[in-house]
Amino acid sequence: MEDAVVVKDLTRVFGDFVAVDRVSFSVKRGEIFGFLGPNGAGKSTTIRMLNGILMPTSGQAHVLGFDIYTQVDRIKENIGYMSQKFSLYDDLKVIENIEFYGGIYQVAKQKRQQRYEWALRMAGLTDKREAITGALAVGWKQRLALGCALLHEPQVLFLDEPTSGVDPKSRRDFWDLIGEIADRGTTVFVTTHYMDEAEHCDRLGLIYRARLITIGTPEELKYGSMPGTVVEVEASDPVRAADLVRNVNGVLEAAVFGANLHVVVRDKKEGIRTISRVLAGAAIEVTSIRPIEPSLEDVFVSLIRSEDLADENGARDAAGS
Amino acid sequence: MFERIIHIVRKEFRQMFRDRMMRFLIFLPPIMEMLVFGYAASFDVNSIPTAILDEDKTPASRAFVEEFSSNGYFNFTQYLSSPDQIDSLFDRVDVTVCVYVKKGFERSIGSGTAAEVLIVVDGTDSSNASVVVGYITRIVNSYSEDILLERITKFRGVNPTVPISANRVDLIERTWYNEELKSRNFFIPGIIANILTVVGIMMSAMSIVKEREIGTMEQIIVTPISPLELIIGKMIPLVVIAYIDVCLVTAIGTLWFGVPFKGSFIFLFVAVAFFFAANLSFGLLISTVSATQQQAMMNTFLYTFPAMLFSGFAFPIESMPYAIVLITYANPMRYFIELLRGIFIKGMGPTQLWPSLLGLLLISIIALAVSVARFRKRIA
Ligand SMILES: Nc1ncnc2c1ncn2[C@@H]1O[C@H](COP(=O)(O)OP(=O)(O)O)[C@@H](O)[C@H]1O
Ligand SMILES: [Mg+2]
Repeated sequence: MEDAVVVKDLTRVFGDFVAVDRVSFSVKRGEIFGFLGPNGAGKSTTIRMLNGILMPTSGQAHVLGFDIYTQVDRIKENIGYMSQKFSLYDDLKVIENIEFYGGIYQVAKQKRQQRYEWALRMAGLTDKREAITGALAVGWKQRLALGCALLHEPQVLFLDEPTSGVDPKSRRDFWDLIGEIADRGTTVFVTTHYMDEAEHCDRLGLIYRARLITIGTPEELKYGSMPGTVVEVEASDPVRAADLVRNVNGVLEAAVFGANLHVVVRDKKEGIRTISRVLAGAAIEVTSIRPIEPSLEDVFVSLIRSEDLADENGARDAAGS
Repeated sequence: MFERIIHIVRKEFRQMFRDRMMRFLIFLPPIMEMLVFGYAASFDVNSIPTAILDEDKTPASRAFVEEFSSNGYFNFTQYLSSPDQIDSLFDRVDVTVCVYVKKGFERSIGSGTAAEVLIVVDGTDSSNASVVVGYITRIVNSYSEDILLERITKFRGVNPTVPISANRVDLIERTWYNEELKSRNFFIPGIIANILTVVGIMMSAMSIVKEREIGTMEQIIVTPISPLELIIGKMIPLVVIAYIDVCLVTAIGTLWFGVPFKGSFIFLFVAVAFFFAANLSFGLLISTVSATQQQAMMNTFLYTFPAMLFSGFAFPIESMPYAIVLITYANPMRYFIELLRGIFIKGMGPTQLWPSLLGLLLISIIALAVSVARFRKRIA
């Protein structure tokens, strides 16, 4: 079966600012595809082009086989969307919001009641159907919005930063819900700037400064895209230690993670030895030093660094020539 | 399509009536404006502050002065003793009229020569003054007539109740259509125009901009609903409110304030439909140039003020400079005021008023075309 979303060289320019730059990827049916990137990277712009809200400047994209230029109407019938901004009516009751979205999505009459009850149950709001939506806690509002986006049983669900501004417990619950939805066969395209949420995704794309830097499963990314090995160092003064080891030959990267230091070294044994020597020389006490499995955060930090570096070099070359 | 529109309409009504401010905005302004214009801001000329200087102090002079007080238009606020007081009185704007009966008034009347009376009118407000002069002319004329009749009777010995003079000339000024010169009758059409502007432009623009502001617009765009369906769904409740308000104002105006309604209700409803269509198009246009509800409100006021000014509502278009008169042809309110006055006061129908309907139709079509084009672009 063809992929749910296929994107080829998708580009969007605002004035002379390139918000999305020749992005290509595809999303398989039934998977949770995570679109990761810092604020302003171009995640929302990409999603809005796929939803027919925004016209691309150039490039191709198909959602469920429908062309985003010419078959927007077909796409709209088959997708659900939760925008970055909470987008239900605060002044309507819970059930009124559900009825409204169910109505404009034209959920079949005989199915309607059952879908509304389903949405209420999923959001955990069966007892609060008569409550004014604006009075609900953020986590509940978010689940209600999700319920409304799923009333018409879309094949693809687009979620733009669904968990921003939600407390950690609600965030976990929300990801559980997303998992259940995907298990039932719905394709989920979700954006986030929380690195820790990336682990919930089947596949990930990292977008940074309008460009898609890498794409793959969490495992592929962890082991495939690191240029070296990550070594975790427990040291007495991690900040100073990071500054010291960063300039050492064979060290690609050094960053402070909590109380520890994560150092990316080109060669595992060689690297550990050099780090120990340098830190001992600077009278920094090292409690432990060992190679670890890289977290996605390590991977992204590393990729973003090398991207920045490449940009700088590019700029220097351009200036020099 | 029809079903989706119904859902929009239902949602709009729900939101409207849940919002206390909105409930207020729908029904309060028509009633308030009616009361304010009907009572307080009456532009009718009555209770004119009047000073009396009677040097003659005879039964005849008293009878003459009495003529002024008996009709209710003039209100004697000052009794003077010397002509020197008159100037300062007018300078202080204490009175609008001074009636000065000179010494020898009764004697002159008795001897059949011209009796002298000086009447001073403050002409600062010229339209006001002309009305006052009209009243005075009528009073003086009727007084002289009475005297004339009396004398004829005396000479000929005929019963004065029998009209005898075939060649008597009656000078009765008659203002057409609005015979009592009641400003109320003129203002009520203005109130209807004003309310329909608020409902049609401000409420429609704000209702669209609000969805954009709170982010629901984006959510609605990704549903299969089309922009046209959305707009129609949002406009229907406003049309309902507009007609309720028109009925409310017309009912209060005719039943309570006794404003004449000479035309046909059906034609009034037709005229309202044309004017409201123009307003909704303008509202849509404003929604495409406003980022926030506040901006939409400001833009509506920026439009409403000149539109009212150059509509003929308060100032007659005939007395405007030619360049401005040309501009008024692009002003929907101008046509609507013409229509309403025609319907209310003159009892006119489509045969006389079709040019105004045509004007409104053209404006609506142009404004709608521009705003739909802009709306499509702006939606993203
Ligand atoms: N309508 C717009 N006009 C101009 N610039 C825009 C517009 N929408 C987004 N941008 C810019 O494009 C960049 C990417 O935005 P966005 O896709 O919203 O990022 P993200 O969702 O990843 O945080 C940002 O720098 C933003 O300022
Ligand atoms: Mg975003």
